[in-house]
Amino acid sequence: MDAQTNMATADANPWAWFDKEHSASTRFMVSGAIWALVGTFFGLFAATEYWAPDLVRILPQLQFGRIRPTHINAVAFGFISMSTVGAIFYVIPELCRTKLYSERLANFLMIAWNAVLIAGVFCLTNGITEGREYAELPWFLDIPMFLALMTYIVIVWGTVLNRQEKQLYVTTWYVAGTTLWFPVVYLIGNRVFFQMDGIADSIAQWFYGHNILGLWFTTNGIGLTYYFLPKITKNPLYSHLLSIVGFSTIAMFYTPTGTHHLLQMPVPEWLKAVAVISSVMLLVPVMSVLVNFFLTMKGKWGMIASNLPLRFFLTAMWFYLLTCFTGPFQATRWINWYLHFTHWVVGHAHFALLGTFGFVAWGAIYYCVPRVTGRQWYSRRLANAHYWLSLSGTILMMIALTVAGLAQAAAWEEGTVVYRTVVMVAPMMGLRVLSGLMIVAGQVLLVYNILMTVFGAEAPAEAMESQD
Amino acid sequence: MTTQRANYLYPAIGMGLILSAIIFVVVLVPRWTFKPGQPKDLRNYTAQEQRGRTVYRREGCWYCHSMASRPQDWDHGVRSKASDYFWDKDGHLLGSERSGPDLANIGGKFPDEYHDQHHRQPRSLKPGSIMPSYDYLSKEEMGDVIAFLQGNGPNGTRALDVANGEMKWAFFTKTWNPTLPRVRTIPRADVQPGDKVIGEVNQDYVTVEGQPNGWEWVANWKHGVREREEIASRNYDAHPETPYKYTAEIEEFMYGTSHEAQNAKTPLNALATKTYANEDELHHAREKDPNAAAWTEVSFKEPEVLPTDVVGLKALEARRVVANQGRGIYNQKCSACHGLDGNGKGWASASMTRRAANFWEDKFKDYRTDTWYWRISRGVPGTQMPRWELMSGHLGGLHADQRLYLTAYLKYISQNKGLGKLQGTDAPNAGAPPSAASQPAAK
Repeated sequence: MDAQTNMATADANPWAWFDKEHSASTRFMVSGAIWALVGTFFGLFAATEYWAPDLVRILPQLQFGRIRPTHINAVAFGFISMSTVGAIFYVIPELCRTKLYSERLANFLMIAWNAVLIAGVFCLTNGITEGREYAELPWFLDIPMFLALMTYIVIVWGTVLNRQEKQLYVTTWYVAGTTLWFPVVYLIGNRVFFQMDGIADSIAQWFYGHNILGLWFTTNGIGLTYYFLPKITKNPLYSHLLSIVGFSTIAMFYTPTGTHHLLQMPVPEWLKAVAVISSVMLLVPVMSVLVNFFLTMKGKWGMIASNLPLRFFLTAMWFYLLTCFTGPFQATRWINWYLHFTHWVVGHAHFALLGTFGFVAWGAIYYCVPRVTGRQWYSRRLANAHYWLSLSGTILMMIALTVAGLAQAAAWEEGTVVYRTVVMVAPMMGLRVLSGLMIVAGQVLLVYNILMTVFGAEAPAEAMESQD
Repeated sequence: MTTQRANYLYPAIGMGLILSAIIFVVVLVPRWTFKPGQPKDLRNYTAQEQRGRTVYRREGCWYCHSMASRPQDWDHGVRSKASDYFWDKDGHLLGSERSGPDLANIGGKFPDEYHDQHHRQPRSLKPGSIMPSYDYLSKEEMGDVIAFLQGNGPNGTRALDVANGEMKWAFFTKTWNPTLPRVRTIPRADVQPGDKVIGEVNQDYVTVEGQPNGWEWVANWKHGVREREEIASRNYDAHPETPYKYTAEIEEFMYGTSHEAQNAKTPLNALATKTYANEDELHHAREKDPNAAAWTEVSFKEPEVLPTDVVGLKALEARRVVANQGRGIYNQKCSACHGLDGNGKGWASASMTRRAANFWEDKFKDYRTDTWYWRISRGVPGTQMPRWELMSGHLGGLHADQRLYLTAYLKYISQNKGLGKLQGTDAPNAGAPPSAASQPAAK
């Protein structure tokens, strides 16, 4: 593993950099961590502009309307997606008792994915956008992204089909299923092949907008948690049947929910009814997953005090509980009538993506990096600080956005004009800037820690998890 | 291995079928069955408006401005219907958050010049607004995006008369479209001998060639949507403002503080000839005389005859200085809606269903200091009047002493029905308290 060995292998095989075992997994997770910093920084910048609108006057590239999509794409496709894919490239071979199908292909995927995202940042800040939420990347980046997802299918399914272990664990179900349905969702959402009229377009867009969460982040994140929780606690999964119930109902109930973003818009009422019903029915997969996780933890709750990855996963699951209880409730017509268009919804999106799947991604990084690199974490203290900064930042943001959302809703309900409510929630927006500062500070620690772990000198012997 | 795989095959196929069926139902079926027809009341975008749409999308306006007026929305105009989006051939701009007002019915609400100024520096017209400044847009792009916005809604340029399919506000585009010769719409009585009359709007108004500016834009516009304004004014008359009633208990209950607490901190304290030490004292005073005020009022009315004694002259001068101090603040923060003269005809007042107050109305001359102060501080519910105390400094809020200077100015213009003796003098920098040199004069 030292430099000489590396040089020697490099001489022997020009593809050594690409073929090294676990290299793709490592690089995906390192990229994910760096995108976490970049993405949250853009988020902080947007939040600051929201609070101090004259921060940037001259540069259109740094204006709020362009920074916001950059933030979303960097955290969604960069941070969360790349970190979870990196973890999947470690977990799936483990579960199949085989090697990754093609380390070389996976490394190419890593390079392409990063290239698309870097190009995406340049496009979005320069105003080249499709103007659909979560699908802002222009068509000439949609196509490479779609090809990347195809490559991802090949890698995951190649690994699964080469497996030495006959039984498919539920994680494999989730991940392999996701590889197949997410490209379909992506294709519908980004629609590189045809345009739609205004209001029909919104239906297709929110189908995508909600399913990028339901059929990509959720299935990957929950799938990974299904692997990590029993693995770390060494408890058997509470119920395999329950996990299969959760898996099969998630595809059934998540898919039609998109229209609950359009409940007061002039779209067909039957479609709204389908969306509301399936949103409430989401409690079935959510509860089956959470009951399974929390019962798997039986007798091992004390481990969160010492085990950092486990702490991340369980925090994520508590946020998941919160997200998925408020979600169905705010998707019902009357609650939505009150809360739609307010900051509450923004806050909800942050619980789901930052609180739940962001924490899953961080936990996965903390669990997998020592295993794929064979090195201990550079500093456990930094990792701890990262956890607490991220957690307090997320909770603060949750408070700020929820309070702001309720204030807006109440004010609009009594007929206060939007202009006055903007001023009303300004202090909460200031609080959000503070929470953003905490989260970004956490990411700085993460990036430093992961870079020192992977590329730095061998860390001092400071065991990360002595338990597992 | 093969048998093992077959166990997974059928559930996998089943799930694939379920997923396909759901996609079929929620994506493809609406695509085939839900096709709003071509609306009779809306025309297609012009090339310029289409370009404006692109700018609107590119700059991410839609992240903060929704483009769908919902049934529960107040003061956003008519509810949006499916056919309103018929011409949006390049995708939707519905938006998902409302950090700024809804724009589905923005067309015809403001003059182009208003939009231009508002896009360049929103806080010059809407203090406390958090909209970014779009100073960097080129002149063409600014024109495009304004043309796009002016098209929206039943009062917009894209609205068609359902009866004959013609443009509803034809004269309006003549007035605003920069590619056409500029015209002014003026009352027939105001036509001067040299004016070239190019069209008749109705029996009262004609259009003449020329460059409209300032208030005239608003006047033109107001005339154009007379119908809507009449509704607004009926509404205005039907709901007279509730007379302001001060009760210390209510103030304490609602805001946790009271005038007296603020009064103790402020320089305008010097103007009060009698104050009460605390709420109790005020309460007892009110039991004897219900009209007892927290501050005994200082009149800002200019006397008919100047006082002859030095003390009286000094006091008069002090009142003018204090009032003029508020004038700078007023010009910066208030004039966009209330007008530079305080007659309620500021630019931004054009669109309001509850219009900005006209301080020349009689009722305002009887407003007490505390009424003014708390109106400014708390805003006026149901209108666009902001709560000035809430805005933090960087958003253009007013500190307590600034609000009191403003109060002095408002009392001055309402009691004198105009600028009075302040006319022709410089308004000082907003927010700067009077220098130490002029301060003793107030005492």
